[in-house]
Amino acid sequence: MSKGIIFSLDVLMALLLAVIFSTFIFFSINQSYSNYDELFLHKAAIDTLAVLREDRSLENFDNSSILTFLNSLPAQYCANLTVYGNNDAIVYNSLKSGCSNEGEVVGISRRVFLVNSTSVYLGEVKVWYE
Amino acid sequence: MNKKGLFFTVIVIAMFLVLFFLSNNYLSRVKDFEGNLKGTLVSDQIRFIEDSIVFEYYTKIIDLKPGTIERIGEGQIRIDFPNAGRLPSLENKTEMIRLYKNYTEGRLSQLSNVNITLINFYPNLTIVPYGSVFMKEGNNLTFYNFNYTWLKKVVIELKVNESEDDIDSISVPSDGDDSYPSIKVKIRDTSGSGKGRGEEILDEDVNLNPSTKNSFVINFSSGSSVRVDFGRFNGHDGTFITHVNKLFANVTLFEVKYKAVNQTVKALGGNFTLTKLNFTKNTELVIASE
Repeated sequence: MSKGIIFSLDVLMALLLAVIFSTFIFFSINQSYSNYDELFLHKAAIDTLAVLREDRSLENFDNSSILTFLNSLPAQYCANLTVYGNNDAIVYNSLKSGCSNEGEVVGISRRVFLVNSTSVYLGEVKVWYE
Repeated sequence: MNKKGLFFTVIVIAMFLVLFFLSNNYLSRVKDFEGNLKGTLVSDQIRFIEDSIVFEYYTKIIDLKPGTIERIGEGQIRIDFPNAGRLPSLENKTEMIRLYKNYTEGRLSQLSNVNITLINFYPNLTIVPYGSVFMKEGNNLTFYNFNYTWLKKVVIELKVNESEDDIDSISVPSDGDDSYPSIKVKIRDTSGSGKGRGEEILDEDVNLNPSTKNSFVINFSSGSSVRVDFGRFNGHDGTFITHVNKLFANVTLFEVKYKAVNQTVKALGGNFTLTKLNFTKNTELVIASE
């Protein structure tokens, strides 16, 4: 009888230890989630804004050129360009065709630029996975 | 039997301890990697902001980029400005740069969570170590020589949109002591196109006292004029100002010569500091260097 109790206690302790260790290991690994997406999206956002700057379509608010470039981004990317004026009012917005709500992970890049050397604007590009 | 049970329990605990250490090790490696990832994101962001500021400064604000800075022998250093553009230049650059600075240090800083500070960020450039400050704004191309003893020679050639036939009056300052800086002014009229073309209106090379007011002035019958001042202007000795009034002038040649120094000569346009988390980037806007 006593041997049976000792055996049962031994099993229970082993099970308890197993549960504790497993839980710890599971949560440790689960917490170590690395968000590589953010890095890639961030780089894509920087590239997008740099290209729009270099071809001057941002400074000229050239809608067709901006939209052509956004639409030429790889199919898995969605992108939105917003330009804010001096009072944070949106003066321009362009969204890649076929995209709607922002994803959970978004890459953002921003730059301040001068237009006609008289006005200052803030351009913001957001990129996310479709 | 008891020994077998104990042995079994010890083995199980040992196995779980191995698992525990392995997972812990994996976790710390992932944390290191995440740190690097975050670092990459931040440095990318800082580099992009830096690049944007430099781009705006070079392409839209300065409008007076030095070409080469070189030692030409005879103990002299020559700086030329092959892209000095035209006069009048944009008006109110100071206000434009103030707006840009405010927006960058304010809204962009706040949204990007990057502390951006633009220091000595003005629409001008400084030649170090001479301390000469060059700027182009509105009708004036100006440079101050706070220590004019280093200045040897200034050469400027302008091509104006007026004809030689319409000159009303010309005045040239008298030649001074050889120890004074030499100021050479060439002015061509609107005929012909391109650098070195056009009838010569003025070609004078005189030594001028930096502590007195000296001016080359050409008035046209239309009421327009072009003036080159050197000396005590705007409250500073050794100041050089090219001023146009009711006409356009292309600056086809502009060069300045100084006494050589045993230091690297650079043209600087202020600097800026970007800080995010533990990353700090302090960048001088070096426009040209020897």
